[in-house]
Amino acid sequence: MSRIRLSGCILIAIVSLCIFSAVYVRRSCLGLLDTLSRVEVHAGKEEYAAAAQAAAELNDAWSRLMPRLNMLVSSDKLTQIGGELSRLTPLIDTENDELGAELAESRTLLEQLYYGEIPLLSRLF
Amino acid sequence: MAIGFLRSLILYGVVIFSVRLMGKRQIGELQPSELVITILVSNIATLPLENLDIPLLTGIVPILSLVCFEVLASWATLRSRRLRRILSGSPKIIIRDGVIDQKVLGELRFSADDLMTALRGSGVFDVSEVQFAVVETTGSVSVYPKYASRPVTNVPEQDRGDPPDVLISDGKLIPHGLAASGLDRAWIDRVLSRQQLKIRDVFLLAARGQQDYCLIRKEEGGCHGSG
Repeated sequence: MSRIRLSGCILIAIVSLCIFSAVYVRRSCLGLLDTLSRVEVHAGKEEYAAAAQAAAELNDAWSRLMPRLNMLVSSDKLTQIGGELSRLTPLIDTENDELGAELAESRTLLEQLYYGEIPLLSRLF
Repeated sequence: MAIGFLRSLILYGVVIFSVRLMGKRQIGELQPSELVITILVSNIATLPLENLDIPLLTGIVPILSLVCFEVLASWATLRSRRLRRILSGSPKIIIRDGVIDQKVLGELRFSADDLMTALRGSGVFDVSEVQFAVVETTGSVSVYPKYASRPVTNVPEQDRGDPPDVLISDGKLIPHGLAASGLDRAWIDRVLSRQQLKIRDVFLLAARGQQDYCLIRKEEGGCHGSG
């Protein structure tokens, strides 16, 4: 295979990988954000048992996604998100006042990861 | 530690593959874009090695992307002379018949010391011995000595004056080459019609005069019709 064709094939593979990475990360984040929304709703209604269950589901989902996301996203971002999500369950169990702030922080980090995959002009520079 | 070792192994393979894909020449012969890619690839390859927190793909994707862009750009410059001039520049004649073109030297930011260094590197210590000196797009200087200063060979050589001018390259007419040679389009048409060729069928046509030329067809080797 000539160098030109090989280069073309590699470029197509890279573009496909970029598209796959963006779609996969965004889809994963959307699922996590949906679960996080349920935690927020239950916490807002002071339904702490349901909120704790939703938070447990959130952490399980995160544990499942982490190994694959590790190949696509830098691990310091993932570590930060994982740390935030793991703090939710103890805060829910103790009905701590800081739960709202932690939920907002978790949402911000997940949204940053979600929007970070969009190649906007402002992100390029 | 093991992760660092394995990453090094993988990146080593990727860089070697990239260098092979580019078909690298020696450092002294690299075009400007190739030099840029070489430097970038070496710098990018160190990022996933120094920082184990970033994904390996963060290094591999840019390396392969840059190399593929370079390969495709070099293919494109093969097709387009204009693009070749934009990306690589064009050779500049700095000495003609022992006379230095100081204006061109100034444009190239070549000092007299740089010039003499380059000439000495080609074994020439006297500017007056130089028939032609050309600064190539790679920055190297090619020197064509005058007849009297050339090394003696077993084959008797005649003083044929200036080196041949390139009139057709890669199927395209070179107007400034034609002007420099003192020949005209009618002569080219006569030469080509004898071989039943069109300009686009010619890989290289270089001529010193009406009877002294070298014509190479595309996808064939050897000179045809040398005088």
